[in-house]
This record gives sequence, structure tokens and C-alpha cells, in this order.
Amino acid sequence: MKASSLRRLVLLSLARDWKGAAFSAFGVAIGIGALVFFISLGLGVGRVVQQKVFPVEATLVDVVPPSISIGILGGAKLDQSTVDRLSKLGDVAQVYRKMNVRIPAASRYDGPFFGSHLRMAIEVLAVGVDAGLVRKDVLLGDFSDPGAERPIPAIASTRLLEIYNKTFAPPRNLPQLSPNLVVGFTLPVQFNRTFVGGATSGPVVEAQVQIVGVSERALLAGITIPLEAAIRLNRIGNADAQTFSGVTLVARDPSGVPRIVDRVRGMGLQIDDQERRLAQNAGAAVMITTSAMALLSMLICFLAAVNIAHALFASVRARAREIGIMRAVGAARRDIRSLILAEAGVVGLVGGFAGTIGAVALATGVDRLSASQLPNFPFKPDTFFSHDWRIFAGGVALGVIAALAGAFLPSRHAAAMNPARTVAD
Amino acid sequence: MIHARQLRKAYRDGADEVRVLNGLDLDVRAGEFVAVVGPSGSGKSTLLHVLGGLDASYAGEVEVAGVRLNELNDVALARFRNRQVGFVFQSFHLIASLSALDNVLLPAFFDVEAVAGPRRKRAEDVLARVGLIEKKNRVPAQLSGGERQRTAIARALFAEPKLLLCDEPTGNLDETTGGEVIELFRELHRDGLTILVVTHEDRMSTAAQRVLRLTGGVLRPSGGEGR
Repeated sequence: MKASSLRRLVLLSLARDWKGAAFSAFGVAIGIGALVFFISLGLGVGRVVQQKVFPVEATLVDVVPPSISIGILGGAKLDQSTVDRLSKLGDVAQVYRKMNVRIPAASRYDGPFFGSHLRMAIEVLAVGVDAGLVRKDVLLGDFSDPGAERPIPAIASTRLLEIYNKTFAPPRNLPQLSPNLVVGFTLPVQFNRTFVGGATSGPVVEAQVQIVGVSERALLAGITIPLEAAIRLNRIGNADAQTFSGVTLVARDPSGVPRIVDRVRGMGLQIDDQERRLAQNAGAAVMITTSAMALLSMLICFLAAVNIAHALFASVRARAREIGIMRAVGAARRDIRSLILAEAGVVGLVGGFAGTIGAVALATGVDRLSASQLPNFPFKPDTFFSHDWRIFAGGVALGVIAALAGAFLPSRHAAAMNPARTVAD
Repeated sequence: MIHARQLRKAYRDGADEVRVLNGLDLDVRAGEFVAVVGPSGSGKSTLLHVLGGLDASYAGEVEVAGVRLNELNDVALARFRNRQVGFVFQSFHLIASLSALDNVLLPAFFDVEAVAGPRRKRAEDVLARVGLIEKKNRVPAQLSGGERQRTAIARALFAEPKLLLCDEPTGNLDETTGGEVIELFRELHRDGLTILVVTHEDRMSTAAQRVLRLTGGVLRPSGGEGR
């Protein structure tokens, strides 16, 4: 049978029993709509968790010294020679060193703050890193130690800025800040000085710290400064300026990460995978919830397919004579099978489209409701949903598949009917 | 046109086997108008379905229009029904949701070689042939019994078949309308069409050139009937 003939017969048949077809399509639409909604929600929330709450880059491996030293010689040290060995590991493309500023630091600020007045006194944590680790996020100047007389460039954490904007600033009537806005802000920091501890050894270093960018790779609760500046400050404060607090390795390819991890552990060092595990746990929780909802939706799709099967069996019985007439004028069994399957396919296509459009509309409504009704919490996304065309295409395709699955047996039944018996008067 | 040899077909009726065709032989020449008569349940319709390729579960050999039906698979049988034979049924068997024109066009839906423009022209021509061109857009419910049967005949003629197989074609028509349909068959026969009619009506059988009686699953000449 030609496609044009099949299309004509299908449309004629559906037009004749449009109420039944619409009811079947409605069942498919409910199942597909629920499926698309929950999968979009799951992937959308998962994306927020992975990209904003716990941003983990697949190629990065954070190496730290062992937390417990066993034996006379102690554990492996993370000094320059160790860093050199790490850089020679296969699969490692880049090595970025990190050193905590091992002396206390504090800031007392009393001055203008983006149109407001800010008065604060805080302890400051700082870590020095190789410039390459954060270079792509530096928006002002050169990320290197400028020496004692000039402001130290610093990178703030994207997540810290988010927490400030959503939690800290609103109740204090402080302005909302964007990454571009904070660049250039300078605050005084006294290194080797603390408000909360006892006396420190060595001189207090008065410095200015200037924000030059915001990065997901920066220290969450503190500032990230050039490695040379951290070494200089540690030397001034008589702290360890030789060993590193950590090293970030960049794998050539995500698939090389497990091999790097094995070799690093073989060197007696540890992997700081706390963030990765948090991301995995949060991702797993989202995935399990999404899967449960998707399973429920699939069950609705299955029931829709069963409903289509029932409806088509009834339709085939009612149209037995008509099918016999078609056979008498030249329809082969496969033509009858194609006709029934095509009818179901159209029902599935319409149901799949309707369900997907309904899901997108509902998701848009939820996002609008969230924007207007929910408080502005940290990491609150513009949308909770992943509006990926592949999800929509998959929804429509699944609608068609469910309908075709439902039509499989009725189509075979219709094709197997004895035409001589059905046209008998 | 038709050569059937040793046709056998039986139905299972509970524990009993009912032999409706029991070694039946039949020869019909091209252009012949043959009527098969017999009581209800004698197997007339079964014979028609076997000869038209609508029923493939039988024993024996059947050749129609040079085609050995025993050797055809489902697709080839469908093509045979589409091209070589036209069926006319007692209850017309029109599709209620389709117009008269679309009912006539129905065989074209299953003909992969049919072309839209010419096939529509052909459908209109056959509707004109049976006197229904003015009512081509009416659905069967808007047609009288005779008009419905003439639409069914137009559908059977659509593919220019070599053989018309008619199952009690006047059985549901009154005398006047039935007479018009019989006259139409006569015209078609005069134009060279081979017609095989199964009927239990005398008026139909008298229109035929030759009348055969189906009894005991075999065909015998029926004396005193036919033209």
C-alpha cells in the first residue's frame, strides 16, 4: 500500500471514531507528559547540583598529603620533588600547586560598599595557587605576587558570592553583587594577626587584597591568592613555606582519572574527593527520585498502551466486515496490519506531542511560580528543568512506541481474520 | 477463464465434518455468464470465495484468468483480487464513512501502481457507467438499496477485472431495483465481461447463459434454466 493511501485511510478511520482516538491519545499524553516533566525536573535539578552546588570537573584530581603518618619516616610529603613526580605521571596534562597561608589573617573594614556602608571584622582564610588553575576566571590584571607594596590579587568563590547574594546580603540591606561588579574591590587584610586566637610570632603584615575574579575553583570560605604570595607570607610568619597543602592534577582525558588516582595512592598520597563524593551522593539522590517518578510515568505509558490495545481490539471486532471488504478488493494481511499500526502510531504521535507540550507548559508554570513565590535561596536556579530537545523528542517517540506496542496484537488479530467469513452475508 | 479441479473444502461443525465442496470441477469460458444455484448452505458462497482468492484453505486446483491460485502467497493473492476479479455481495458491503466515489476508489488504495489523477477519473467513469455520477459524493446511508448495489458494482468494475464474482447480488433488492441490476449485468456481459453469479433467485439465473446446480458439494448442469 502506498504511503498516501495509508495516510488517507488512517485519517478517515480516525475521523470516524475521533472520540475514541482522542481518549486513547489522552492516555498517552498523561503518561508522556508525566515522564517528560519528571525527567526534565530530575535532569534540571541534577544540573544545578553538579554545576552550581557541587561543581566537579571530570578531569581534575585533588591530591593532598596523607592525613595520618605511620612509621619512623612519616608519610609522603607534598614538596616540589613530589610535585615533579606527579607531573611525570602518564595521563597528567597539568599540575597546579596549592599552599595554605599558614599564618592567621584578619580584616577590619569600615567604608563604602557598592553604594552602602559596610563595617565588618572577619578572620580570613587564604590559599595560594598556581596562576594556571584560575587564569580563565581572572578579569583584572595579572594573577601573580605583586610584592609587599601593592595589593595582592585574589579570587573569590562563585559559591561564596551566591551565598552572600541569597543569604547574607538581603537581611543586611547590602547590594546584590555580580562577578563583574566585585572585580576591583579592595579590602585591607592583616596577615599574622587574629581576632580570636592568641599571640602570633613574627611581624604583622599589612596588605591590601584586591578581588580580580570569581571562580568555581577558588577556596569556598576564603580567598585564593597567587602561590608566590602565599609562600612569601608564610616565610614572613615563620610558617612552612616548603610543602604544599595540595596539588590539583588535570588529566588529559576523564578516562585517565582512575589510573591517576591509583598511582597517586601508590605514592602514599591521598585524594581529596569530598566534593566529588558529595556531588555523587546528591546526584544519586536526584537520580533515584527521578527514576522513581520516571518509573511511575512509564507505568502510566504502559497502561495507556493497554488501553490502546483494548480500544483497538474492540475497534477491529467492530470493523471486521470493513476489513474483510478491504481484503476482498486487494488488501494483503500486511496492509491491514500497517493500517491498524498506523492508526495507533498517529494516536501515539498526537498523545506524545500533547503530553510533551503539556509538560513544558507545566514546567514553565512551576518556574514562574518559583520565581514569584519562593524565597531567594542560594543556588536557586532560573529554571528547575532541563529543556533539552532530546527529552522532548524522546517523549514523542516513546508515545509512538507505546501506542505501537499496544497495537501490536490487535493488528495481528485484524490481519489474521478470515475475510471470507467476515464478508459472508 | 476458470478451471477448477477436484475442489474440496470442509467445515467442522462441532464433532461433525461438513463437506461443502466435495471434488467439485468447474470450467467457465472467457465472456461467459454463468449462474450457480442451490439451496442455502450448499457452498455457493464458499465456491465464490475460493475462486476469487478470498479463501485459500481448500484442496484441489484452481486457475483463474491464467493464474494458478494454489501457488500464490498472501500478497500475490491480494494483488490477484485487486486486479483480476471484482466481488459483488448481497449486502453491498460499502464502507459507511466513505462517499460513493471513495468506495469505488477503495481498490486503488491497495494498488501500489495506481496514480491519483487517472484513478479518480476511472472511478468517475464507472460511476457514470452505473448511472450514479450525480451522487458520487453521497455516503451509502444517503443512497437507496439499488444505488448502493450499483455503487458496489462500480467498485467491482473499477480495476477493469476479467471476472465478476457476484454473491446473491439481488437478494436485498426489490423486484424493480433487482431487475435494474440484472439488466446492468446483462450489459456488462454484452461488453465481454465474464460473470459468475451464485444465487437462489430464478430471475437472476434466467439472465445467465448457463446455470449450474451445486448439490452434495459438486456442480451439475441445471436443466431448463438460463437463456
